[in-house]
Amino acid sequence: MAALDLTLSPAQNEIVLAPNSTYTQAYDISNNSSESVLLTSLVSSWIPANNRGNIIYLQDNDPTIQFSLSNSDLKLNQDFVLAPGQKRQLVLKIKNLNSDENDHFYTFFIQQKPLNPSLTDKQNLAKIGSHLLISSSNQSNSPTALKFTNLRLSPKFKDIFLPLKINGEIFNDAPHYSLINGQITVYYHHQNIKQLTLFPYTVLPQNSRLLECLDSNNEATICQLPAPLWPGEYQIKFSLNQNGSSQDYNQTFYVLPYSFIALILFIFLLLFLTLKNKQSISSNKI
Amino acid sequence: MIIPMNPKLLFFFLCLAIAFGVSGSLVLAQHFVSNSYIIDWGNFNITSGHKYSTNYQLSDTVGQNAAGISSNTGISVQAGFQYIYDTFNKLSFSIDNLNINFGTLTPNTITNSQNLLTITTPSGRGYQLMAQENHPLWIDSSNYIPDTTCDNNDCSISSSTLWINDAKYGFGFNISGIGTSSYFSDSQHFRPFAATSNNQGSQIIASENTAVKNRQLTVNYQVIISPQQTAGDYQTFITYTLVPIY
Repeated sequence: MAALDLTLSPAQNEIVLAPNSTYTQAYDISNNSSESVLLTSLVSSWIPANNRGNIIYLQDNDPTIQFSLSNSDLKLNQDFVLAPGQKRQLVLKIKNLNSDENDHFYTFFIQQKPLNPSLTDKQNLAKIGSHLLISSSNQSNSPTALKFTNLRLSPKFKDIFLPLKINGEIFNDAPHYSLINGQITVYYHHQNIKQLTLFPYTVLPQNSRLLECLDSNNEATICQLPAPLWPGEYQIKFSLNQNGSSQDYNQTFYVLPYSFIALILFIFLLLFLTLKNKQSISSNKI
Repeated sequence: MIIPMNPKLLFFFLCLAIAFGVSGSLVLAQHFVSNSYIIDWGNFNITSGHKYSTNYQLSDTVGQNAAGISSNTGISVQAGFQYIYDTFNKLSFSIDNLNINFGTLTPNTITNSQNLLTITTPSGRGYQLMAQENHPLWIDSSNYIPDTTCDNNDCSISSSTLWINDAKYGFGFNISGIGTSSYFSDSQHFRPFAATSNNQGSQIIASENTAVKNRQLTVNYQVIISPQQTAGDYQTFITYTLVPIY
């Protein structure tokens, strides 16, 4: 059994908080190891690092959102012990002191500390965190402004035997984070031949997320059309469902039998060279 | 966990269900009456669970009224216990050994030690793993083993390069497993830990976009000392931070 084994639930919460309102969120922390563990809780703020959902932690927390624990026997940053197999609930109280419409991003951390003081400075430690995405707003359903950017299809030469990858990003131009809700529909000769559902990533305000699709296991995967594809004209409709309507963006592409043409050309070239060689041999005999 | 069902109880509930079924009256809830109590329940689930075999998995609820997904604009109802398995939202992290001991170090000799990290993330969510050392391996701040700069003095806390030369002294690490290839191209590429003592923030050392179950990552710590290294007990600690991809 591992020396340290912690589980934290839930892993993420997305909430809308009206100015000067308070919200409480319960977290379950479990010690799955065979040893007692000394823990503490803290909250850190972060900003997005890239379009893949990675983050960077900030040195200082934004003071306009206040955090405390509602547990009667525990405060934030106060140590507590979890016995082997023990589960404990921590209730985080979040108070929004903002008067503006904006978003704040935090992680509620459970941090391990050395149980034995003689191991201080010698023992590896672990921190496990759950994200809090907070929209400070008076509206529970703010208008969204997601849009497709950097859409491109690869490879450049669309051959019948090559799968077609659909790359791009979704940018959020609104002041609050939004969940992606959309589809990619592919038409061949005006008939719907494939529909891909976009993975419902959360896009932070003035940030973008890579375009990915939902697979059969409800996980994110590359958006692509499997080969073979019939030669001809295709239309792709990129749709985002937001604010009660669907916003569409259309693209056209052509699939050509490049590999087939190359093969025929190669055979003709081979025949041509063979015939040319035969002709030169027969002319030499004469 | 499997809870065995009492056959008599099961028979009773089956009789109850048949009686209600043949009664002809429209009943959409459960009504229990005794001399002392009357209990009206919206529904009475007889059994539910998550069952496995070699080839199949089944999540079910027996007794649920209107089981299934019902949706309308702005609302979705998932009736039945089977849907709780879709909402599992746990993040788990384990470390096999918290006390890494390199033993006695020999100058100009590569010494390694390993840690096994195991990660499980919620459905539809990947992870970001970060690491940070408290300070370089030291007896005190003036007697320390420097953090590695790798063979060509070109690695840093955010980029890894080749480190196989036993005349390049220092302490560093490599991590292997799915999710690490963007940070370490192979097992011979190393980098130093970000150090709290140098005001360096924790650095990402592995990440994945999709959910993982018991993903195992192996951290390989490496240390090489010079013949002039002062004798003594050198120590530090590493803090591993695991968060989900938002």
